[in-house]
Amino acid sequence: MNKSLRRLSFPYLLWILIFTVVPLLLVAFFALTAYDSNGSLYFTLDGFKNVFGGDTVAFSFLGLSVQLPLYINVFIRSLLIAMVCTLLCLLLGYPAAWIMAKMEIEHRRGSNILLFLLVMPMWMNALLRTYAWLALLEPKGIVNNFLGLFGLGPVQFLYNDFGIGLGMVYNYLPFMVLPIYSVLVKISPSLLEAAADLGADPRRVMLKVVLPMSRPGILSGINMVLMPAMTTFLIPDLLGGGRYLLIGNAIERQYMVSRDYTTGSALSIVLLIFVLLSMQIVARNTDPDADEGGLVA
Amino acid sequence: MKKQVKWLGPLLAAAILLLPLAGCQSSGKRQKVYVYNWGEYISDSDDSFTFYGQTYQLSDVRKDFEAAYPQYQLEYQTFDDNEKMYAKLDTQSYDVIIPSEYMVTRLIREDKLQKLDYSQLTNVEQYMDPRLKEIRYSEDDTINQEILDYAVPYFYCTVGLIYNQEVLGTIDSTDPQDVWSVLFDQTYNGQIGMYNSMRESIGVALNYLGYSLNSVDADQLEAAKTLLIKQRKEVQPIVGVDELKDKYVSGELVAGVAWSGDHTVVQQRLEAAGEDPDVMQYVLPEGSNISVDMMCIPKNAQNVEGALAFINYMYDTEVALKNAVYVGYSSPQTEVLKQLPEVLTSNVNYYPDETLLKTLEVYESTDEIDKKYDEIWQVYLAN
Repeated sequence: MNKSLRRLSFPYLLWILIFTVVPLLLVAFFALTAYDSNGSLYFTLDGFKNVFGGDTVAFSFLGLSVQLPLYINVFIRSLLIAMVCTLLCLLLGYPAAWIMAKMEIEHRRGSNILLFLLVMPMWMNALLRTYAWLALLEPKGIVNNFLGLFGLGPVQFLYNDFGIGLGMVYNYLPFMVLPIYSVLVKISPSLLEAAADLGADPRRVMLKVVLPMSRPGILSGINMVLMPAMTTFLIPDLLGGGRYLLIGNAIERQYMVSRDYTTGSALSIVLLIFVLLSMQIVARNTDPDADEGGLVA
Repeated sequence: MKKQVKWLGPLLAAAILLLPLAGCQSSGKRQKVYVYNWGEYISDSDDSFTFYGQTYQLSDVRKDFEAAYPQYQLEYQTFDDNEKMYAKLDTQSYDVIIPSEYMVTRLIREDKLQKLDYSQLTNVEQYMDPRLKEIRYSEDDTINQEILDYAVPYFYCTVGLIYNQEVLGTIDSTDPQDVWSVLFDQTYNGQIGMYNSMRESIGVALNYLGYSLNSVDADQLEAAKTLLIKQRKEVQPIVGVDELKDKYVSGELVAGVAWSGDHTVVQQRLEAAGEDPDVMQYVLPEGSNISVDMMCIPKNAQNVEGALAFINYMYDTEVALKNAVYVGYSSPQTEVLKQLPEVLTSNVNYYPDETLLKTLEVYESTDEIDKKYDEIWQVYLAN
């Protein structure tokens, strides 16, 4: 039984090998090699030197300004935007997930339609959804036309932090709501009743019972939003008017425009290590909870 | 189930890729001519078109070609980027491609083009504007002398300043310092348009500073970079390509970098909106950019006869006129110039005279230039 089951996983392993492991090795290979003028391959660390060295760009944050290497600058900026986006997703997504879960717990119905509405936009391609925002937010777009009725605007929504942030929050919100919802919906109503019986007001129930129990959901939501938000290049490309360099764009540019595979791959590797490390941190924070929260699992 | 779905994608893609090949083999009586051109770069409508007060009847010249040469069937594809076109040349054989001059230079250097048999290009021989022989297509003298053996100009265009005459007054000078200065003027914060492209932006900065568009001098490039970053912070230009045109029409932007063809479009839109088209003017400074899109035949073309017929047909006066009206760029066909509105053809900004033409530069593309400019652009983007 066990053996035949294992055999079933073979195609998937093969899939992973060909389309995940081999490309990763290729990226690592590209990152450490370059062609000289004769067209022969040689080992080099130039890619990594380019990532951590090169031109410096002023980085300003909260009134502070420091000169940082170009890619470090881009990296930090990507991380900041991704963090803000994740925080907004959490602030918007948690109440939504809670409302949906409550409907499910208390009435055993009603949440389906909300869930459906949340997931429905994801049936469309992300590119199309982002293009739709372009049409909405343009200076002569629908939103500005509407504002114009009241004598407001036109407001420049696009090609700045606001436009990119909005595009990201919109695109990644479901990835925050769904994991939180799936955890919340499993919380037994009896626990909430017990807390109330013991004298906790609704706010206390929320803070002391619901929130701690939903931690795994929050963490996996953060994981699912932070990483794609940090590495996206489609959204800044479209909503940033192509003049916005986040780490995803920087890598894309190295491959598609500069044709410098060495630096592009080195950047990818650095990003990958960063992503793996932060996932590790999230995972470490999740584990003890999984042990405690018997009801959640 | 999931696995099945995952395989479906590549299978479908493979099927779609193989489809044109299947078409190739079952060639009927009509031979196919594969043409690869920029998008929206050939007359394909049956409308009549008013162009600076004159009305022209257009038609789909691709259908006309098939009617004029019943032995050929046109397979027409479009690209929006020279580099993307270049990438496809290795995997697919085209009979006619129409890239920009720097890409032609690169293709000649890489021995990917064949020489044209001018005895079959009678229209080209007869009608090609001698001005086009004055352009310096490449820094490489050999290629510069040979380029017209390999490639025939399709349209050309210049990079100049589009500006609102009511706001800025008339700009008479062709000195780049005078022409471009408005782009770097803080007074017009948020009212300046810039193209979202590397060479145009860096080129304008270099030209303004009095340097060559293809400079590789470290100090000159540094100055251009600083200027652009300063402009981005202090003038906050609106960046785009096609969306800029409507902003000139609406008056939101007072000036910006523009291809000559785009200026024609802006004027047409102003006219269509019932406004005075002359509000938006265009001036071409000395030493700015000229680019020429050129028809050429790749080495691996399957149907050279058909390709030559197509190139020659594009120089037929009636066809070239329809294209010129539709596209709005500068035509290299002498008879067409006589039939286009005089206000256009006598405008040195569109059809530069010999003195001005000699100062204009194409964008060179060498490994050194590509690398250095790309570095600047990267830093600019990160700021």
